[in-house]
Amino acid sequence: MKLFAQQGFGTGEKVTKALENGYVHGTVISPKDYGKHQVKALFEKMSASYPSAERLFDPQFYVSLMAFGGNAKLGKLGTGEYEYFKGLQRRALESEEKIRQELKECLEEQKSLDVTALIAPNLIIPRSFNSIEGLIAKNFIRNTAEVWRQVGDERPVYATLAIEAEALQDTQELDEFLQDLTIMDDPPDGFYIIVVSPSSEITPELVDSRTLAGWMLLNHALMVNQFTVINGYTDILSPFLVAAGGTAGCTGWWNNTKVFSLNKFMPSMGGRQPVHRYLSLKLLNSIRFDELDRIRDYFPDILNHLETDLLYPHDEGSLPANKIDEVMQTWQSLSSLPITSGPEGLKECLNRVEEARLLYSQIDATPGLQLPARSNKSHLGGLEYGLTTFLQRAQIHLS
Amino acid sequence: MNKIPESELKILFPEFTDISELRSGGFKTVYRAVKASGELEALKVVAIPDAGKTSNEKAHHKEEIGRVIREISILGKSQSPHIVRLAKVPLTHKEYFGKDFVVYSEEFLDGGNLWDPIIDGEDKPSEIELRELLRDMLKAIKELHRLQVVHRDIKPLNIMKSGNSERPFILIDLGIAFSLQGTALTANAENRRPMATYRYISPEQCDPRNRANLDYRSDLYSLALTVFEYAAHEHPIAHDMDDFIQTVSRALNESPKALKDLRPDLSPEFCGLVDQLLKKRPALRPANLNMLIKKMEAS
Repeated sequence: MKLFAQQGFGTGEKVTKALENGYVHGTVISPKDYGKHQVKALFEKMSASYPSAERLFDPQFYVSLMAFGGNAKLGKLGTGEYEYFKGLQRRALESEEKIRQELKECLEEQKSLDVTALIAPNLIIPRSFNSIEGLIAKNFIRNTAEVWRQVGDERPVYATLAIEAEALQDTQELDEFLQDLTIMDDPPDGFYIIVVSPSSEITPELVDSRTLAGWMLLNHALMVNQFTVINGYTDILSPFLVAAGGTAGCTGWWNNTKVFSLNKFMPSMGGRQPVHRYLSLKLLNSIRFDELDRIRDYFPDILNHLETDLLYPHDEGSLPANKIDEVMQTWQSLSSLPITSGPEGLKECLNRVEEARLLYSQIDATPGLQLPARSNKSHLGGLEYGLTTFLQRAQIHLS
Repeated sequence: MNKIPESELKILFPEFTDISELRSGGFKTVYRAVKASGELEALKVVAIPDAGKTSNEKAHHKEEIGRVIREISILGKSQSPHIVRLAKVPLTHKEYFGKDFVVYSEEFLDGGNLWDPIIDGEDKPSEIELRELLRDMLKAIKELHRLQVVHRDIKPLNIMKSGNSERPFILIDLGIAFSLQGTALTANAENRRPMATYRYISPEQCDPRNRANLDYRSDLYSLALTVFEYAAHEHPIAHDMDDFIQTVSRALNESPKALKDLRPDLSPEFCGLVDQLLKKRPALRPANLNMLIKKMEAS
């Protein structure tokens, strides 16, 4: 399965190592965490060493409305080195001329980066597709290809589609939006989709079945219409989205690169370092290293039997030695999944949910091994119902 | 009286030496008209409902005239060989025994429609022929899209198989074509049944909420139904004895049969494409016409 590194704060060493090991197929870098010169250098290094890897830059233009308020935590985005980025009021974007100007400025600046495709700016569609923001977002998408033709080169251009999870839950509005999206006269080459979660924690809400069904339908409709679809911040949802038709999923090393939330642009409330987790493909979930250590002898199937399992040494209490280890294990595990786009991949996903349910029930039935919230099976209902709802809405009958 | 007798037509259109009826349906009758030179044209005579006295009757009268004018206007602009062409007789108003008619002519197309081989139980077509059919009709839909028009009545009866290798299949009868740019012709559209042949109606045509968003993907759906039925001699959804309500209900809710189950000899790629074009949600039908045409042109 095609997986990209969602690069957050860090030196880029992890991504280089993951590319070297073939755990990821590319990367998405965001300006909040990197200055312009650093981004340029990272892409150039990647291009020289791993020329076949895909290199994308998410301009994070969608924070512009938030930035206007003045209270956002913008990192390098707010230093002025990215000239396209500024605080904006929504009403400024109600003019098509202004939208074209923003597209032009952002794509022109991005053009100098050694990326394999460009990601055009857009804002976030909050709660409802049938909103002023929904209309503005469509305008950004409609103008993307033409503006890129005027200022750009041969590289493909992807439109950003940033949507609040709630908006995906209204089937009628999503259908109407999709109807417009798939019949543009001058469409972009693809889409970079991010779904905005209300929380930066990976919670069961992210796996709300209605959100997942809508997100999968979005991927499917865009695939049917020949678009490349890169899904940002997807972590364990990646196989489901790729099976539905997505080209790739992305995930990273912090929670805020596994799930997208605007919280990361808000002033920090402090907090502690996250505990190391292990992504178990058989559970379709990440569990804490100490939980893994407790269970692995009883249920060896909880391990993925990949080389990155060695990063969680049993004789050390399954605690990884380095910070980098967790993300290596996540990347290798997800990208090892034999998920293809289409019925076979969807069947594989359904089977894996079934297998996870079975394994969880065996664990739950063993005294002393039950897993607490976030590591338990509470996500499986959302995954299964999301998948079956999607199958029904897309009229896909798995034999 | 919905027809002008042939003898009267010969007087009204003396440029034709022979005029004989080909088919008739609703308010429209089509005649084979022969010129002295031997050249053939299809003379179309449309009976216009009386203007009547009520506002509804008057609106209906205006609507019918408007439809003929729109059809001729579209045909006049079309540059596709896969859409029937206008011939020499321009739009002409005729009154016969107090009844209004409009008359015009189209090119005479040799060959038959796609419905006859289905009901006659003839041999089912090969994949090569089906690909040609899909290709030509996609080109016709592409041209209609250029003209900002949705045909709304693509069905086996409205596709002619010409026997001409340059243009094997030709789309006819734009009588209820819908312009995406013009004003609506249908009076009280919200309260009326959708304009279409229900057996080939798309789900979005059935749903008044979606009619405002109608686009060429509705024609792609009807085309897929047509290709399926022509290929399998069986409709993927409709049942012959169903009434209007049942037919529309099936169009909205029932999953179509899979073409590969009825024609296992056809390639999975071709069957898959027809099945995909039959998705209820327009967004799930592939809409890139150039790509679809290219696929059908590839051997």
